[in-house]
Amino acid sequence: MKNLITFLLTTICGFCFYGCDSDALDQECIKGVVLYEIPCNNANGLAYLIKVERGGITDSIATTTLPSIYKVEGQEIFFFIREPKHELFCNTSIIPPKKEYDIYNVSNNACSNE
Amino acid sequence: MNKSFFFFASLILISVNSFSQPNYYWSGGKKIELTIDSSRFIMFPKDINFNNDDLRNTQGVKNHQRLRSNYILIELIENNTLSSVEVTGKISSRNLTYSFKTIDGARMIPTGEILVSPKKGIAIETIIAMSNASLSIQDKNKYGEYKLRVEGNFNILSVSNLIYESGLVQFAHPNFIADIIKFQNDLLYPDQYYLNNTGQFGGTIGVDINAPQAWALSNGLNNIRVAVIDDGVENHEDINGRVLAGFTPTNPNGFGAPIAGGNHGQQCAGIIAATSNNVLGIAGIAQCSQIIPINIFTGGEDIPDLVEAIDFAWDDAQADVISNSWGFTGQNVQIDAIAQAITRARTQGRGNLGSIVVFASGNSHPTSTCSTNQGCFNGVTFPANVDGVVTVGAINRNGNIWNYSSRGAQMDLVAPSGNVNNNGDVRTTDRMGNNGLVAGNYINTFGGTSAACPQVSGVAALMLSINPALTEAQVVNILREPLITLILKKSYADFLTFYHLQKFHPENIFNG
Repeated sequence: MKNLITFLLTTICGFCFYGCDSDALDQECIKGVVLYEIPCNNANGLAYLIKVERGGITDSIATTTLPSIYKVEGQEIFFFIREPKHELFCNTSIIPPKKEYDIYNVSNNACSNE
Repeated sequence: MNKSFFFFASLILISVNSFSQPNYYWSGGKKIELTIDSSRFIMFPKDINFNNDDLRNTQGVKNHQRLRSNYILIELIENNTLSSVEVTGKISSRNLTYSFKTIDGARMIPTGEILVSPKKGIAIETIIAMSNASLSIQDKNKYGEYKLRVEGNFNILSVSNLIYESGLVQFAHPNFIADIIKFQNDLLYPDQYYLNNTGQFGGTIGVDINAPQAWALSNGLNNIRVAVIDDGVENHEDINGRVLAGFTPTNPNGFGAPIAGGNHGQQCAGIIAATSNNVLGIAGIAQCSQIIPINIFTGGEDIPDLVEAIDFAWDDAQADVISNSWGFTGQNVQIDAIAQAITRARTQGRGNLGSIVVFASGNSHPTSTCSTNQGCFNGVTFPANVDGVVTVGAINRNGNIWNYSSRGAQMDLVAPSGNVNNNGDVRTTDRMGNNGLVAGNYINTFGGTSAACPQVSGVAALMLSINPALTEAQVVNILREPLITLILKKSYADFLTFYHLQKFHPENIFNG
């Protein structure tokens, strides 16, 4: 019985850490505008460019984890970022994107940590 | 008297002879003016076994090439003159002459011979005696025309002019090696400055890969296969059925065809293989070669897919050349599985002769708009930095390295290209009709190191057309080192072609 409890606790904690996005770079929810697909690719798919404004600075990030329903040019979205799980490769007729992140918890209304 | 005395005495004689005599020859009843090309001279070694490789490290000598068994073209580094070249002990000949140019800049390299057609009833011996020069008969054709060799330090123009002006001959003029080019009738060829830069669009004349001179040697063979690993290639009116069924790692029925939005591979393929002289479109570099399309941009390709793409190219499709205008974005990316696949291609492709693997260097060099904090970095991208890969950067039409062009120790070559993000000026094929990026079947805004890479792939295909027995190492060495062009066992034209590629070697540019 004691072993079973230990196993369950370990398992629950494991799932907890997995679900807590320990790779997250920034716990701050980021607001951005979907720009367009760029000729960069990895195991997740082709990359999208997202325009972000933080601290008065406009920048852009590339991501391959933008859910399909948000792949609409000009759509405003809210999301969190973490280090990408896969490296990005691009064709060499473009300047590659400055920053690549995996984005998660994407929403078009408000930020959510769920 | 030692050799150096004879050499310097020869220099003095050449200088006196070359600059004190009017530089022209007679042809078509007119004086054809020439100017001295003081950057090049011809050496006629007394010893036919003279090893011109001895010139390799001679100070002031940029290139040398044995054009025939008995004469060697020597090119000087800029701002050097014959008298400033440190050659003592390297050159054992007393026979040197400057090269010439016509007034419009065409190179005319004298061979040390005069072509003479005596008038009826005039014996060649009479002409030789009249010339007061030391002439020997080298050849006579069935039409009574002679090739006379000028011995000693006689000015070849003076001697041939004296013979012509004697009135004893129908013609007499020096024998020259001159650039011979084929004329192109492709409608958009005049836009292709990267092939033949005549100053169009404000470019600098000569900043090109000397394609016409290469085509004088070979237009390529139909059985040379170039794999284009990119976002797919499909048949095109100007590639004329030479796009084979290829490979899409993520789709067994893809066969390397493009999907919606994919135009990049088609643009690369046109540079390599578009049909020439069909009164249509552009001219490709290796105009008869076959394209093997491999699509790695369907979205979702992982590392094994990229490995499979490379292995398909050299193994299943037996590609001679593998052209790659793609790369990873991160500075520290290094993926052994891909590097190993490239090594397999280089060593096991073409029946173990090795496939030539060409990569664009990348567009990640730090600029004012992309600092090292913003993802740009010094060095070439992966896999362009893998050992043995031919790594190609980009210069503009004026010969200056593009600010975006990734560079570093692994660089091999640069080729003329345009700006990035479809703001370039490279004319090439687009996908046909509504599938294309622009209206019509051609585009003129291609650029980046993407457009430079296929130029070198095309040249590699041409080289293999000339000599299919070359190993991968030999091809790569020729591209990197013009002094080894003799492997091709061809004449002046291939020297020019590869010299001009080498001319834009980034080391030369970076060293100012």
